[in-house]
Amino acid sequence: MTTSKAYAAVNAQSPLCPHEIHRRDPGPEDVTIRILHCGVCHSDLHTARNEWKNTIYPCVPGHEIVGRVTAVGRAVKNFRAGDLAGVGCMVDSCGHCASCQDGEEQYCENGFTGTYNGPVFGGDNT
Amino acid sequence: MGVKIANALGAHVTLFTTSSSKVDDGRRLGAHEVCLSTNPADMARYTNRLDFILNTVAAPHNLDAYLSLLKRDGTMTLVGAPAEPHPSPGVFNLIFKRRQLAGSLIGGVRETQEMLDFCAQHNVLSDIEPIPIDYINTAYERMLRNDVKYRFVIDMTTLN
Ligand SMILES: [Zn+2]
Repeated sequence: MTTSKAYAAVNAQSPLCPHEIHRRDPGPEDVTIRILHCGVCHSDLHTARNEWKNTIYPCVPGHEIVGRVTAVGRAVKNFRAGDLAGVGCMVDSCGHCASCQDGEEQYCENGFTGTYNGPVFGGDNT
Repeated sequence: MGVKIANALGAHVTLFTTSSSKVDDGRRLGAHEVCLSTNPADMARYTNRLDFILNTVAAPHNLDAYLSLLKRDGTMTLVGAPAEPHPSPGVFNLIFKRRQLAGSLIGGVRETQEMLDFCAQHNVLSDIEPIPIDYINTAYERMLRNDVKYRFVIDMTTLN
């Protein structure tokens, strides 16, 4: 497990405060990055304040990420340590439904995994 | 970014904004025309004139005011996600011009890469306001006050 520094909302009323979060160990298909910049989307605000009524707390909003790759799993082919990498709103999907097969994984019929506030296939929430 | 990308794609672009302070910026971003949506006379000039509207507004508002600007067979696509629903649009406004009201989510990995490659090729860059992370709660308040012109971007090296 990795411990990362973050700013989190602990409930719908709280401002974002410094917080430590735990990430599962990276798997063979995972890329580890050091985050350099993160854009601020209105979705972050909606989610931090539970305005869509689905927020899992503590919540670390932010899904316009640019970072530098620090390590890659052994099955990763497209990235190497030192590369720039971007992360958007989505970090995973089921991979086998009709939408995923069509390369439209943002419409994954089993629900894509959001970069934050998302359930992870076989793990903790993002 | 919507304005910049639409311009790079070759469209004739009109920016609709509620704030007169964004008029000059809109032109600089690549809008050929800027309409002040709070001015009914300005809005009326666009009735039945637009092929497509990309609606990025994340707050409930009157959709009819924009649907009526579409030509026959025009489409307005909603990409903003307000916490409360928009008032339902009038159906007459849709059927008498066979207009379409649509929605769209983010792109997938393939489309996102295509977008980034297109932007790199056409030198389409974001205008940003960089902030340290301890400014984030102020940034949120400014977003709620509409006191933001460009994307806030957190410099994560300020997270210690
Ligand atoms: Zn799927």
